[in-house]
Amino acid sequence: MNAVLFMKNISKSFPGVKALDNVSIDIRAGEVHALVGENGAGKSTLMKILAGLYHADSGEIILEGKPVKFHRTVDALEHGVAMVHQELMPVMEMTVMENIYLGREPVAKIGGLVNRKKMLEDTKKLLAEFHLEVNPRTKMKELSVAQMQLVEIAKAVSRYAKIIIMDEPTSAITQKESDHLFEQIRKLTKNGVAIIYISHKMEEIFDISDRITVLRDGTKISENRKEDVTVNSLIKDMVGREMNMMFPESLSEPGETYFTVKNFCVDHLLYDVGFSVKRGEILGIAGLMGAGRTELVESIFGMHKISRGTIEKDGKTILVGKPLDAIKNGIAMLPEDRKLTGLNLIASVKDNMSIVSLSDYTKFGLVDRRKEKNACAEMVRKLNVKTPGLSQIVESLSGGNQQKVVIAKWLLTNSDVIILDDPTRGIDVNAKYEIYTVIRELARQGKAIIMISSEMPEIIGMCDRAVVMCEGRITGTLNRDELTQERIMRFASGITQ
Amino acid sequence: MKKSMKSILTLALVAVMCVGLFAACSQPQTTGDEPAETESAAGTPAAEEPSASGSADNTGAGNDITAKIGITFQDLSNEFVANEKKALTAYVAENYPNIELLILDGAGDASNQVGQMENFINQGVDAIICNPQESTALQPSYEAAIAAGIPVVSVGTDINEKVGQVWSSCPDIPGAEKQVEYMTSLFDDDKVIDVAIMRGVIGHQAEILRSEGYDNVINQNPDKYNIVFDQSANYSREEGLALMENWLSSGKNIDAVIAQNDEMALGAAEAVKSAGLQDQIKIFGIDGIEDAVNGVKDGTLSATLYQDGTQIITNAFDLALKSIQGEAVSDIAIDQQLCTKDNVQEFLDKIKYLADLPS
Amino acid sequence: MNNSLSKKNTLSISKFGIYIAFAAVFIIISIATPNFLTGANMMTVLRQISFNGMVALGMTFIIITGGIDLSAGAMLCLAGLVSAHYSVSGAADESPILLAILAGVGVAALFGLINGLLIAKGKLPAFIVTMGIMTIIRGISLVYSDGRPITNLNDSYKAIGQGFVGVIPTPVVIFIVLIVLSVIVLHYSKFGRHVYAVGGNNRAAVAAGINADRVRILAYVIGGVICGIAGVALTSRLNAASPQAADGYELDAIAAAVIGGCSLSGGRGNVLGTIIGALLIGVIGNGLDILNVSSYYQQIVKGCIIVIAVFLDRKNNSEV
Repeated sequence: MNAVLFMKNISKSFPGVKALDNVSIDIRAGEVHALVGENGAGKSTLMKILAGLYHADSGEIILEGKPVKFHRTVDALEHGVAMVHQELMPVMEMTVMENIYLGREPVAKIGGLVNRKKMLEDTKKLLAEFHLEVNPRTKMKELSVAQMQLVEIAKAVSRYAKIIIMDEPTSAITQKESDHLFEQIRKLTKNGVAIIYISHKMEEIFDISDRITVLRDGTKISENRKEDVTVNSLIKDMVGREMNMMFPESLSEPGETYFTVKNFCVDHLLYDVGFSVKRGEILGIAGLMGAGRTELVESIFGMHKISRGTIEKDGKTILVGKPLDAIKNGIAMLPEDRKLTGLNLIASVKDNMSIVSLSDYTKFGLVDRRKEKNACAEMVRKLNVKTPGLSQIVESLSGGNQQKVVIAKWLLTNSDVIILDDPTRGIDVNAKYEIYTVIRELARQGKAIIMISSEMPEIIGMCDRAVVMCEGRITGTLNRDELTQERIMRFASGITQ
Repeated sequence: MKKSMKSILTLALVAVMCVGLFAACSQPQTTGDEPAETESAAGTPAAEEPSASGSADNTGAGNDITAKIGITFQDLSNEFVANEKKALTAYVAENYPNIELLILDGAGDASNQVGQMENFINQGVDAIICNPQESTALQPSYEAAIAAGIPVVSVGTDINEKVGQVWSSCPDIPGAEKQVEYMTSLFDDDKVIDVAIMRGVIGHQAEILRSEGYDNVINQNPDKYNIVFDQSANYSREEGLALMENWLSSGKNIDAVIAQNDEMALGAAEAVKSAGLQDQIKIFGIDGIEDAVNGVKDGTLSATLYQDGTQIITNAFDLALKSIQGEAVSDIAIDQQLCTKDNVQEFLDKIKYLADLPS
Repeated sequence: MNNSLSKKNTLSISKFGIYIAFAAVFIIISIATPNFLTGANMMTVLRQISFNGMVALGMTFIIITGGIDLSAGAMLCLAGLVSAHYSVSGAADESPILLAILAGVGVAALFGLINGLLIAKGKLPAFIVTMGIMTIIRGISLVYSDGRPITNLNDSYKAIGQGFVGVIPTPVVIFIVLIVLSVIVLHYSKFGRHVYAVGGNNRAAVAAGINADRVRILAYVIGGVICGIAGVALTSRLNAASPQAADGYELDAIAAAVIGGCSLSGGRGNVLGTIIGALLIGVIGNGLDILNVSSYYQQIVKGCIIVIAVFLDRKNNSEV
C-alpha cells in the first residue's frame, strides 16, 4: 500500500520540555493507524502539528507526494486533514447543522444568504449514516457528550477529509455508540480514508487498528502491524518496562461495616438505592453511562437534593445537606470530571491541594504558608506528581498528574470514607497503576472506599465487591469471586435473576 | 421553581432594606427642620419674599386665566434646572392659581423629551415650555406642536432653527466674554497675563459657546494673554482639583484660571489652597451655584457669573401666557450677571430665596 | 523535584508586561519634563491615585470572585454625602468625626451587602445587579442631598483628605493601610484562598466544602467598605460632597485591576498588579497634564497605553 502522508523528523519543544524528538510516521490510505503512548508521550502534540494547531520546530510534512505547510487549521482542512478533538469545542448555542457547516455554510447563488434548506437536507443525510437520531435543529448544548462526539466525527467526514485524526473518540461514549463509530470507521477506510486513532483502550485498539505506533517521551519506540504485537508487548513499549500486573495486589481484608447508604431517592434519577461498605473495603459501582452512578455519589456528598434516604457512618446517622457537611463527617469525593468539579485549573498545585484542608494550617484566619507548603510537598513526593513545582498552574499538568492533585487534596483531609468517581478516566497506564497503588494503600489503612468505574477490568481487578446499577436502581451485587465481565454486563443491562 | 422563589424572596428582602435605608436617609432632613442654620432645611414655604424674584412686577396677582401648560426640563437631577422648576412652581402658585402645570423630566435624554412633547400635543395643552437637551432632535416635535396650534417656548438652549417658537435665554457667549474681561481688568494694563483655561466636557453645547466667548476676547488682544494651559476637567470638581494639582506641579507660572463652570473652579481653588497660593492665583467660575457664590464671598474665587434661573423660567412662562392670550411675542435674553466680592450679597439673597422654596 | 525549577513562578512572569509598561511610561515622562520627578509632584500623584487605587483594591476582590461592581462610584458618592451630612460645621446634628465616617462607610457597606445578596443568593448577573444598584444609589444621593453639594465641613473632617502624616498626605497613608490589609486578606488568609477558588471554579469550590455564596457576599461587602472609606477621603479632599461626585470611578478602578492582571472571568489577579495598574493610569494623567497635552489627545494616549499594557500582559501570560 502506498503512503498518503509522511511526517518526517518532526521535532517540537515547549519551554522546558522537548515534546517531540525527531519523530517520523507514515500513514497509508485506507488504514486505521493507532497512536498509543502514555499521556505526555507526544501523541497529541504530533497530531496538533498535523492539524495545523502547532508549528513544528523542524521536520516536514509530505501529503500525497507534495511537501505542505499548515499554518492554521483551515490550511489542514483544505488539504483534507481533519481532527476530532478529545476535548470537544462545539459552539454550544448553535444548532447541530450550524456546527457541522460552521465556516463553510452553503450559500444561495443569489443574495449570498445561507441556504438553510440545503444545510438541513445534507445534515439529515449525514446523521442518518451515523445512526444518530438527532434533530439537526437542536442546539448543541442539548446533546449528550457522546452525541456531540459523533457529530464532530460526522463533521470531519462531511468535509471529505482524506485523513481523520480521532483523539480518544470513545472516552465518553457507550459501547453501543462505539460500535456505530467503528462501523463508520470501517466504511470510511473502505473508501480510502486514513484514520489516525489515539486511544488508551487496548481492547478497541486491537479491534479497529491495522498498524500501531508507540510513542514514549517524545520519541517513536515502535511501529508494528497489529498481528505482530500483544497487549503486553505494547504496554512494555509504552511504559518502558514489563508490566505483568495491571493491578497491584490487595493489601487488606475488609473489616466491619462502616458506611451505609439507605433508600436513596432523587426525583427521576435514583430509586431506593442502598449499599454498605466495610472498613478497608473497596466497593465498586459498575454500570453503563447514565445508570445514575455519578448522581448517586454526588447525592451522598450533598451535591443534589434527595427526596428520601439516610446515611449511617460508624453506626450513627449523619445528615448531609451540602458538601461541607460531608467533608466535616470525613467523607471525601473525587469527582467524575476533574476539570469541571475537581480543580481550579488556573490556580497552583499547592492552592488546589490545600483548599479543603486549609483550616489545618490556619491560625487566626491566616494561613501558615510554610506548614501548608510542607504538607503539599509531602503529597507531591508520596503520589509522585510530576510538576516543576508547587506553584505550577494545574492547567499545564497532564491528566494523570491533575488527577493526582485532586487525590492529594482529599488525602490531606484525612477522610475515612473515600468516594472515587471514575478515578482513572483519561489517564495513561503508568499513572493508572500509581493511582491503583494509592487506593490499595488507603484500603490497607482501613478506609472505606467506594469506586465508580466505567472499565469493567478495573472493577474486577480492584474491587472487593461491586454493586451494579441500571437506570437509577441497583440491579445486583457481586462478591469478589463472582466478578466477571459477563455478570456485570447482565446486571448493567437490567437483567436481574 | 424553587430557585426562582428564592430569587424573588431575596429581591423582596433587598427591596425592604432599600426602603429602610431610604427612610433612614430622609430622617436627618426632617429633623433638620428645627435649626434654621441647616442648609438642607427644606422648611415651610417662605414665600413672603417673592420680590427676590425680579419678575413679580410683570404680572398682576390674582390673575384668573385658566390654562394648561406642559413643561419638559432637560434634567431635573441638575441643581440649576431643579431650581428653575422650584421657582416656576412657586411663581405660578402665587400669581396664577388657575393655571395647571404639567412638569416632566427629560432625564438628560432628548428622546425622552420627544415622547413628552408628543404627549403634550395629544393632551391638547394650551402651550409648551421646552428646555431642550439637544438642539436638533426636538425640531420635528416643535414643528408638530406649532402645526397643532400650540405655542412653544424654548428655555435655556434653543433648537437650531426658528420654526415659530420663542426663546427665553441667558446667552453663554457674552457671559464668557464678561468673565475674561473682568479677569483682565484685575491686572495691570501692561501685564501679560498667564492664563490657564479649564474646559468643560468637550463638545458640550455650553463648552462650545463659552470657548467661543473666550476666543472673542482673547483674539482682540492676543499679546495680552499667555495661555499656559488649555485642558478639560469635564465640569467635575474632582477632575478640576487633579488638573490644577498637575498644573501646579509643572512649575509654570499661572496668574489666573478661567473655568467653564463653578464645580471645576472650586476644585481648582482647593488645589490652590493646598499649595498655599491663594494670593497669587485668581480663579473664575461660571454658573453662580451656592458654593461658588460663597467662595466669592470668602475670596477663594475671584468671580463667578450668575445665571438667574428664576428670571429665565418666569420669562418663559410669561411668553407662554402671552402666546395663549394671542399677544405678539419675541425672544427675551437676559444677561449673565457678574458676581464679585462687591455685589455678592445680592446673589446670596437670591440663592436663599430659592433654597427656601419647597421642592 | 527540581528546586531551581520550582522557583519559576508563572504568576510573576505574567506580571512583567505591566511592569515594563509602567517603567517605560515613567521614564518617558521623566525625560520629557523635569517637573515630573520631583518630591512634591510624586506626593501629588500618589494622593490623586489613592482614591482610584482604593476603589480598585475593593474591585480586585470582586473581580477575582468572577464578579464586577459598577456601583462603586455611586457608593463612593453616597458615602461621601452621608458622612459630610454629619460633619457640616456648626450644624445641629454635627457628630463626632468617627460617627460621621462610620455612617458613610456603613451605607456603602450596606449596598455592598445588597449587591452580594442579589448576586450570590439571587443568582443574578453581577453586571446587571450592580448597574441597577448604581442607578438606585445615584437617585438616593440626589434625594438625600436635594441635588446640591454639601459644603462647609468641619476642620477635623477636612483633615482626612487634606492633612499630612509627616510629609505623606493622609489619603496616601489610608491607601497604604488598605493595601497592607488587602494583601493580608487576599494573599495570606483562608478567606483569600476561598476568593480565588470561587472565582477560578465555582463548582470545584463548592465541592471542596467552601460556602461560595458567603465568599461572594463578603467580597462585595469588602468592596463597599473600601468605597465608603474612599468616599469619605475624597469628600474631605474636595471639601465638598456632591451628588455627581465620583462619576465613572468604577470604570477607572476596573481598568486598574484589569491592567494589573485581574481576569474578568475570575480566579486571577493580585493586589500588587492592581496598584501598578492604578499608578499607571494616575501617572499617565499627571504627566500628560504637566506636558499640557490637549484634552483631545489625552484620551487617545491613555486608551492606547491601557490596551498596550494589557496586550503585553496577555502575551506574557499565554507564552507561559
